[in-house]
Amino acid sequence: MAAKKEKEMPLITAKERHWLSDALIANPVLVQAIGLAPVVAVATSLRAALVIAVVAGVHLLLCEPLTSLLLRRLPAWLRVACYYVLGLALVVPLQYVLRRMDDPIVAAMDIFLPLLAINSLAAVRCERFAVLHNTPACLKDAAATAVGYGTVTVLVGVIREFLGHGSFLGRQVITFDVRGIWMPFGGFLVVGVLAAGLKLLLRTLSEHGIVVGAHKAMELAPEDREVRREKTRKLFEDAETRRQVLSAAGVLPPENPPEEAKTEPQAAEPPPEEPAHPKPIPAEAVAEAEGKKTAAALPPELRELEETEFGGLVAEAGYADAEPVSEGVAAAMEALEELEALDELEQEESK
Amino acid sequence: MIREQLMAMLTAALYAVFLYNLVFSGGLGATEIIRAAKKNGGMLTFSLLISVFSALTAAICRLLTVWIPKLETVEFQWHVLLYGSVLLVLYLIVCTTLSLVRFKAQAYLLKYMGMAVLNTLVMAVPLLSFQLGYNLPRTIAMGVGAGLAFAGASLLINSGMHLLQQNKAIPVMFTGVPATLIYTALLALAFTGFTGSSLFGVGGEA
Repeated sequence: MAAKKEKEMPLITAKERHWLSDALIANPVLVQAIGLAPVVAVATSLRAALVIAVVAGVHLLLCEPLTSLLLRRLPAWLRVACYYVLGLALVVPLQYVLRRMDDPIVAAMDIFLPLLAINSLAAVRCERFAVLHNTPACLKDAAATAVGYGTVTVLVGVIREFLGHGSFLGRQVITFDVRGIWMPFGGFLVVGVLAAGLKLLLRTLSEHGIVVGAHKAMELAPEDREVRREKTRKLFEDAETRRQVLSAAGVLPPENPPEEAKTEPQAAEPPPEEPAHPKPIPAEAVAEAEGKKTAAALPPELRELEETEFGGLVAEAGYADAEPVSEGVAAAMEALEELEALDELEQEESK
Repeated sequence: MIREQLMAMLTAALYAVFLYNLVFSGGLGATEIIRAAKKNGGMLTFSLLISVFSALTAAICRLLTVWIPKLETVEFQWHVLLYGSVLLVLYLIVCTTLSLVRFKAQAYLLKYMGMAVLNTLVMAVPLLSFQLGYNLPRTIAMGVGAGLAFAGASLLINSGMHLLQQNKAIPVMFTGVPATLIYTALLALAFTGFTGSSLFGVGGEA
């Protein structure tokens, strides 16, 4: 059964699929649940949604390459401030221009338009992706994310405009008035239903082999999840892999010779001049010391997983924080913790 | 006099928590709240940071408009720029101080500071309090209320997420993010009841 499942779900790396497919597979709103505030609060009509989509997209297209080129050496807290400054520089003139236009839809956006400057979309994507990748890859990611975000925002805007007032682009189509859908609860509801729809769509496409590996990014059924869990467990059975992951994440010192790791003596019997339990190294310090090496330091099988299952797992579960270490490492750490918790649970159950 | 001020502050805080819950009725800080709720720890730290920074930013902005009366009359985008700059300067001062002083929770605080401070919820408090014409005590109370609203909302979503994860009856396509968002929608609907808004138009009137 497990072997059959494995055959059905080949590991497909990010490189093997079109870069734009991330707009669907790793959609920022429907899969990663980022940049939600403008969508649920303001996207109540097509025109308002277009404003949000354009502002967020331009902000992202500015921030990601800039982060990759210049900001990656700065500490994370300073980088976040830079994204915010860029957002303000974009939104304040825009607010000035739109106020001059005296557009009622834009006027209805009220204080929410300036809040686009502080949208979490750019900060999260820059911290998850741009700090680890080169500029062309960042541009592609920014474009894919902007397309994914914009599409969902516009879709939400159209649905809420129609359900709320029976209109499209301000023109009355039918007499219909469920104004409650304009409130944030309506936004959450529409986004939630769309997220479920995307999940179903990706599963269906994947089953028909149209978007190969699409279901990797989605939460799997319990039995499928067990297959994935088993794969992860096998991966972590290798002590050396485990040590590398822990080193790259800053939990263990990176210079441990492999021989020591294979016999699992990390915490026991250290050399006399070193502390018995190595002091945790801040992830930021490790990333700074290793520079671009953090992602590259991973073994090939982990790197492959980072781009497929782990990436999806991170996106779906929202596990990864804005950390300067590799997404794969952060996800691997989570997976490791999850497996350890599972082991403990199983031990308790067996007792 | 003091009693009146305290009552006004309490009203402003309650307004931000219940009557116009900034998270559920305003949709502000939606991403942060779902991310914070996913983690079992850190929700209180998050809420505290939001309370402190929104109250401080709003209070400084309010004082600036009192000291420089011209600011009351400038166009809205200049308010945005001013409030945004005040928040940024505050954030940079606190982060620089934290990065210079060594203590146990330093890495933890610096890690979450960006997400907790530079978000729509914190930025909305000074803008809303300006629009509502709040005085200084009410502005501070609204900032504290924003943090309380965040704490309450994240606790509600966190406990709901645990229940949703255990519920095997949920169709696979609705598990995970969709279920969380729909659950949040239902909570937001409940809070909408406090606002007295009508969900349906009367006689087709928009």
